Amino acid sequence: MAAIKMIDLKDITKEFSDTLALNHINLHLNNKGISIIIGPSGAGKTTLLKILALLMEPTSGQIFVNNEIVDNKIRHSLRRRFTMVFQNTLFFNSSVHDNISYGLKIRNFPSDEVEKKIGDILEQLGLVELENRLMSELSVGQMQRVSLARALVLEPEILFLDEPTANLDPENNLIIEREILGFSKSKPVVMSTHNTMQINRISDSVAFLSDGLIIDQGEKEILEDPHDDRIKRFVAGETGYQKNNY
Amino acid sequence: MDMITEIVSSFFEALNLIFSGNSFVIDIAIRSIYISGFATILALSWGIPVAMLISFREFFGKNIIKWIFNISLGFPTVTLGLMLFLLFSRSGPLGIFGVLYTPTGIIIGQAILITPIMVSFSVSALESVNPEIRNLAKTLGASDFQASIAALIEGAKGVSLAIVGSFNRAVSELGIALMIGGNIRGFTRVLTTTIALETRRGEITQSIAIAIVLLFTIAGVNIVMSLIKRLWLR
Repeated sequence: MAAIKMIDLKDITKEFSDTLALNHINLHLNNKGISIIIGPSGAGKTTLLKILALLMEPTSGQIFVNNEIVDNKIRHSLRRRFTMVFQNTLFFNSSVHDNISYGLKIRNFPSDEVEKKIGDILEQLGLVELENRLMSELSVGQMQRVSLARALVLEPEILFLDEPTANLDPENNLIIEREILGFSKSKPVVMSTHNTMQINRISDSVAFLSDGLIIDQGEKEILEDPHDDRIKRFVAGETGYQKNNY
Repeated sequence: MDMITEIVSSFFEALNLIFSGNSFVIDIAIRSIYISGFATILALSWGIPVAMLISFREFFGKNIIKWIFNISLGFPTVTLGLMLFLLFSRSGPLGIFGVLYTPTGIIIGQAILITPIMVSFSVSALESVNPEIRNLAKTLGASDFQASIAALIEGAKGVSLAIVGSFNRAVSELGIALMIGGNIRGFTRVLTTTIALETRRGEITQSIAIAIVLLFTIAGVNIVMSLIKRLWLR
């Protein structure tokens, strides 16, 4: 498949035993800028990102990439072109170096190229001195930077991020946002957040998700001048808005 | 001489027998380790894939299969030995393979005996691994199989416990070694069958020596696995 230009979700529903996580979602993502999925906790943001990153299959509905339906034949090869950074600092129980090298080794890069890429990305994210430390010894902010490094080193065509700056201090928040903005200049980013200030800083388009439904989508104005009562309540801080976000 | 004095005296004689390099003791110990070691490798070869299937896949009847493996943990070795004896005996359905009264027969029997330990303990270890680890591996480019291997590595400490527990069970069982192996001197005689035989013959010193070797063997394997865990699975 040629370069990824667009992803479309058509009538996507996802059910977990007794919960409807996504309810007939239709979404169009193009290959530009930073698209943000915002909504209160439990809205279905993580589920939606996992379906977009081809890590989870929907209960019903279809996913199209460049207007071609995603089936099991192309799922794995396509998934290799995306990378997702998870909300909870998720890592292999090994060193920073081994975590970052995992995806490169899976792709059979020669070892000298692996080392060069790791050296470059560690420097880019200010992690050089942590290279041989165990992940479990790092702070949450450092773990999240390693998670981002582990994704960026693979040079994905689309980067998915699930609340990448949740619970981070201002310094790490700044580093992560800087990297996301840098990446988005050449390739698309799709991320979830419930930080409305972050949307003002970095978003190009926004979709508001609540109870598994996309309530509204457009530019950041949908939050500045909300038409739906649920968005108004969210922006006012009644349903999960974190007022102390950086 | 009262019983306590006899045991203490036998204990020291037994130590002497071990550390003087008695060929009879060493021969039996090596045979036990290799028979039970092969049985453990055999059970590992099918037990780990089964454990991975149960842990990482959703399918109908999964809980029933887990339950069957769990209740099989306490399967009496003599009962299994009898069943295998009937299968492997000359007139039995598997008699043509001629494995009765051979080390191969004991290896197969012990492998079957320890499979529930291998599977149940491994499932428990793998189910305790964060299920998102497989998604992490996949988003970094791993196939389904590679993602399962990544999760297996994350659960390796628990799985290594299953391997050690399985070996310990195999090397210390008596029923299968006796019924399938036949306790043939220099061929299928292992540590446990020797202890039973020597005790029956009144050779308490020999029995205690072999029992100590058995305990040392189990302790040795545990120490080696602990070192591997410490060095490799930090």
